Amino acid sequence: MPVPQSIIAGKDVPVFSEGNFRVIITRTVPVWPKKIFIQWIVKNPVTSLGYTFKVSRSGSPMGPWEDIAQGFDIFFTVDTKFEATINALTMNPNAFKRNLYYRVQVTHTTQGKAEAISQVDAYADQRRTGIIRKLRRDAHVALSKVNGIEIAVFKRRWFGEPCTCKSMTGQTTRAHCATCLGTGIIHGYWNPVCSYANRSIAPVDTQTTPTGIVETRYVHLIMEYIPEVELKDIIVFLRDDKRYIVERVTNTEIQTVCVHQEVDVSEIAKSSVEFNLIADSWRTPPWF
Amino acid sequence: MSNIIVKTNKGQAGNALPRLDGEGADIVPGSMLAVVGLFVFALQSRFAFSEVEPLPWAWSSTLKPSDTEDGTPLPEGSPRRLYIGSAYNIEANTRNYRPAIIVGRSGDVTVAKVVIDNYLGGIQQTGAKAHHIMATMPLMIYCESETPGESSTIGEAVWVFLLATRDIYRKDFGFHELSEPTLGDTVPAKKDKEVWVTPVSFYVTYDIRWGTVPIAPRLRELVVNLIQRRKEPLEDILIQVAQFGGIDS
Repeated sequence: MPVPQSIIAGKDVPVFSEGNFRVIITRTVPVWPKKIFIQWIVKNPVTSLGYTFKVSRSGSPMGPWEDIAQGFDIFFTVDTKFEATINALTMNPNAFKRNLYYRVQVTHTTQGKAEAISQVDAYADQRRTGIIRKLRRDAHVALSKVNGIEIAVFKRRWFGEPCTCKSMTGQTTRAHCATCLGTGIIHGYWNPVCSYANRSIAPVDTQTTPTGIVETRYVHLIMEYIPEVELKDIIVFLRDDKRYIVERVTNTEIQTVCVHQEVDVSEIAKSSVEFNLIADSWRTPPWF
Repeated sequence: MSNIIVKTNKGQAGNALPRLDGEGADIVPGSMLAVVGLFVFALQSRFAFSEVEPLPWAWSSTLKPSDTEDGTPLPEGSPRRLYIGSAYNIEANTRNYRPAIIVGRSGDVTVAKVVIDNYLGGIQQTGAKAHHIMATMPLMIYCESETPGESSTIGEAVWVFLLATRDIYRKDFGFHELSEPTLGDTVPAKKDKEVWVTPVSFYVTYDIRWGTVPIAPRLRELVVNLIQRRKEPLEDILIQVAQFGGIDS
């Protein structure tokens, strides 16, 4: 089976480079709840001058991206677009787990372009950085070549333009809204990220309730460290199109840096609105 | 109820409770399934698609998710199909389907004595007695959805519908009382995913009447009369006993 169409399958790496030079994001340091410091370097620079940068952020490493700074030539920026508001228009950092992804694009006056993507992550000391890189690579090799299968991760939007079905109370009155998929925010989910995961087997549990027979199946996944999943994200197994909602995430960490994730998920019924998400990662050009 | 005509065969059921056309022959008027079926039918009629009052949800006899009967995709913005049924339905097609309105009994059916020993009257010659009591059945309607906003909106539509039509249903279906419904709190329920349920509860009170006829006195009467009046055909005597509880003198 071919590799899914994804520019970033479980790898936090430079994703695009036209010339010899590359850009690598070296720091994404959160200063909650107000700002995030982002720093990067240019590898194999042709000249010491002539680079301009654009920094964007998203809730998924696959975008879509929102520009936060552009047209400057220094090698860091500070994202301060955080609001402690009760509406969902802007990123609100109050929740325990809010993952953000930053993309740095660099353009040289004569040598072309390059870009890199990184999630907000802690950092380890130099010795453990090597161990982390080894473990991440081992996880990627094991899952992509041995015991994993292809998945698409749809990260749920928690901020963005509100849908028309959302009232001023913050409640959406249409769970199957075609525009927001019941999330109250237009599009509902960020672009899917293709990766690999190992899925445990589990029986279908049934219980009889006044609302009929309810079927549930909770399974345990082991997946790579990127994208870091959160509550209510959707994971689609591309081979059987079974879809799961994230219930609980346990990260394996070294010095607070995530190496891989163990995720408890629940299979969702086929009448659920999340089945409106398009997940055909072999489609060329991709649908998303 | 505007676009649905409720056809009943009132008078044929043998008591004051009319029965809907197509109602199961084994379901006795006043039984739990009859009362639940009435409100299932009423809510299906309320949420049936109407050009006059288009709702975001429409009850349909099919739950095919995104296509019409002939396979044509539903146009954008079409109402979401709503499942309305009775509690403890084990149909596989309805499993985990949302939004849904489920009608069920929510507790014990209790009876309240209105006359001494529930006794209305009797016929001394035959020993036949008539009884009467009032039964109260609590009902619960679960309005389930994937978002709390939708669940509460459907719950309120159901609640207002019951509140506004209670006099109609009380009159037409022989209920002694149909209480004002209570709209419950919208609460999460853990299923395959988190769903939200808004309960609407109320109760119906209805008459239960029954009669008892002792068989032994009748049989004795039959024997005595057969001995005395052999000239009358036996069949006529049996019909008189069965229909009128005695024999014309």
